[in-house]
Amino acid sequence: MKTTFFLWSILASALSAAGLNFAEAVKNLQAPADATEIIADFPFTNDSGKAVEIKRYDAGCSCMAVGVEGGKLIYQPGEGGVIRAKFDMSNYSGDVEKPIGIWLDSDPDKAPSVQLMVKVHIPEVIKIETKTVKWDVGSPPTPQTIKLSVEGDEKVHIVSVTHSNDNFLQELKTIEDGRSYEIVVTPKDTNITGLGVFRIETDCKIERHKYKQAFASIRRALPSEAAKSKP
Amino acid sequence: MKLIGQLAVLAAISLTAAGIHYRVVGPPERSVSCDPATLKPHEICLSEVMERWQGKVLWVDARPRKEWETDGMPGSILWNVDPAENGLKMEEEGMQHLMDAPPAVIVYCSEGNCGLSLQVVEKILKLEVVAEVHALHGGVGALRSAGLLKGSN
Repeated sequence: MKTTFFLWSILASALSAAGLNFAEAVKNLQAPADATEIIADFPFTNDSGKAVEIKRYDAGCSCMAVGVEGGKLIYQPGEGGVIRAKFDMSNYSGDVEKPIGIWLDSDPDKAPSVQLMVKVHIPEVIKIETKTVKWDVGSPPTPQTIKLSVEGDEKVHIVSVTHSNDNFLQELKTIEDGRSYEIVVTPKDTNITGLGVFRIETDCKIERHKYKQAFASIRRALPSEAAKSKP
Repeated sequence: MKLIGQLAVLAAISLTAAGIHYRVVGPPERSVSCDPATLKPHEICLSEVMERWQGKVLWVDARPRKEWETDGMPGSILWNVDPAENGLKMEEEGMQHLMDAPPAVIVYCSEGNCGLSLQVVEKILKLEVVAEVHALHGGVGALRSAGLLKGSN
């Protein structure tokens, strides 16, 4: 009975305690402005003294494909491998962090024993300083400005600005050719609530940075905002 | 043969103990725990959403379209960063909803390992239209265990 109990204990402990040693759990990457995809490799070794099985890996995002090099999932003591994460950045810009969960052996569903992280800086190319210009209903129709600046070495020009609401007048100003622009927006009538969508087309060669968007809104002040503005 | 018999005895003891535990303590805890002290910036517990706004907020589903269509929160809108979606159109549609001045916007995504909702929170905050924009801690898991999702109890 002692032997059986010993074997039982060994089996139980082997299932509950297993681990892989990752050289880096966090990868910091700088993406080129025109990249739509970036790859992060996470090399690891099995330093645990027993076989470890990778049961599942998941980034919780359709933008990140995760895989194990060669499709090998069971690693004997001393063996190593690579987890590869392929990040589709098409809809991202700025600083992005993507966690990856790795479930080993008997990890519970909600608690992977390994958490990896991909941190990527994706240049914005065209930065909009004020994304929404706003007026309260009945307020003076004072002009407001949407500022755009170009990041990086290459110049980018604004080709056109179209908008969806005739209650707003717009004027495009070039502050520095290919570098800095302003769109001055003036509402005709602030007694009408509404949203204006400004579609900004540029000559940026990178397709996903070619179009930008900004907004103008006229709406009733929220009770909290109205309270703040009272003397 | 003796070994098999002994293993069967151990298995029977384990099962009996598990059964007694289930009867005495109850079924395993499946609700999503949320400790306000450990929340990331912009994260919020479901209990706070229900307490402050009685759940009457703009729910934003940051998961892929198919998952939102399957069991999205009733009244929720889809707003994600899926490359398959038209990001500008999605932002425009989202902005139309923000114009209705919801008291708060709560973004949720898949269970556990999901940083997507925080990405969407940042996008919405950049629009500077609604001040109270949060990512739901626990994502759909928290909503499901509270019986708020389509088809959940």
